[in-house]
Amino acid sequence: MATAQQAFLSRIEGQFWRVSTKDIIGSVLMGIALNLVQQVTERADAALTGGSFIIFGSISYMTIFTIAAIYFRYPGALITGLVQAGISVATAASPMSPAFVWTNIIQSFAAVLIVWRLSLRPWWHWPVLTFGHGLVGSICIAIGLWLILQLPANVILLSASVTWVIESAVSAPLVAVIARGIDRSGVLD
Amino acid sequence: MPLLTAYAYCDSPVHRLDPRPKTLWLAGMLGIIYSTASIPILIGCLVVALCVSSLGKLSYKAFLPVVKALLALGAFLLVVQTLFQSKSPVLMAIGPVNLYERGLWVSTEVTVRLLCMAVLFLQFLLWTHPTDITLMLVKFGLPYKYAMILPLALRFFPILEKEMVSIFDAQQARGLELNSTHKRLLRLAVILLPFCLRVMRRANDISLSMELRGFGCHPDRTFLREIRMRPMDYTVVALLALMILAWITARTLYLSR
Repeated sequence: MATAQQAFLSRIEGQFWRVSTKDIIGSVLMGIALNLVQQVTERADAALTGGSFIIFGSISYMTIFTIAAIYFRYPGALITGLVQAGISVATAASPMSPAFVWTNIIQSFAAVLIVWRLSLRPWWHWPVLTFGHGLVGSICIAIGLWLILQLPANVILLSASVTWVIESAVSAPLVAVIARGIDRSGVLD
Repeated sequence: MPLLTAYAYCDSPVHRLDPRPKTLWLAGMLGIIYSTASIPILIGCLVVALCVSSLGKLSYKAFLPVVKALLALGAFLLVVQTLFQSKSPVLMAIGPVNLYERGLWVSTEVTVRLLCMAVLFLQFLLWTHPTDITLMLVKFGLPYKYAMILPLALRFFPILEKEMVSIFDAQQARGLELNSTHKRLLRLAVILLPFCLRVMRRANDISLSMELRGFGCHPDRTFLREIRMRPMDYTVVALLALMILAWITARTLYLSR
């Protein structure tokens, strides 16, 4: 049986660029939504680890950012990332905020590149997606940890790898559930 | 308290300036604070930024939420850095745990730098009209469809902030306990789905109403407001260029990292 999700995803399957007004506005609003959720999660990370392990912030980031990459593609994902990074810098939400700028630029491209090649029908496509662009993001964040927080290499390696595994593993089912919910609601049709 | 304070017109010399000198001030100061690790210079930059804020008749109350959050962050950074910076002399030992000296300096440097950055960005948002930012980006050659992203984000930030609060309230009314950060973190999924749905629906409505008004129909468009560089703006740009040049010279000749 063809579900609404399959219908919508097959409609945008194989698309890399989507530049309609709805995509641009949607990606801006998703960037704000991402930031608002991160106001809770990033502050919790900062309170627990001083910003050196961005676990909860990464999970919420990966979830909403992946949703933006799936539905708005490129440059929507880039806009979402830049809005998130811009507001994060302006509100000094995390000591790692400046690193989010280059991380989001690179990670948005990686995420859309992976989404572009996946149909998202088999269950294993979701972890492939999150682990794939999560790895790129973690490498960028590791560079940020080195440049901004000046942490020792062993701490950076531990932080980046732990964050990558947890954020990707937790966000994959979350993204799948939310994407299914969005499609069932028919809000994008 | 809202995190992003919106622009409000005030009759000050800074408010009357074109957005381009304000952007140059922001970029120049960010360049300085990211090219030095000296804590006295960073504190000096913060003092200068605050003095310029009073010149622009900005209330220091606008910076309070960010300053409070950053001071708390700074305290935790201090703990983490003094524990991790193990390649420096021991500052003190608490039982079996050593606290390292370098961590103290690194955490102070990062906190002051973040404070400078937050003050500079908030300043920029408080004294620059969102439409002026769009006009400036259009003048820089960005298509207007993308130039309106930042003002749109600023316009919708407080609206979505209220929507998220209403989702939290609605879920709590259904019996979900969300009264602490710990509980909010654990029950993130039940907030994320309705929030994403509301965002998507709102995006649909806004894009439809914008397209019905002809948004995106033509490659160029006209604006009711206009920005123009006046003699005062050129003077400020020249002064800022001198300041940046002086910093680069001082950095190259006298200051080491």
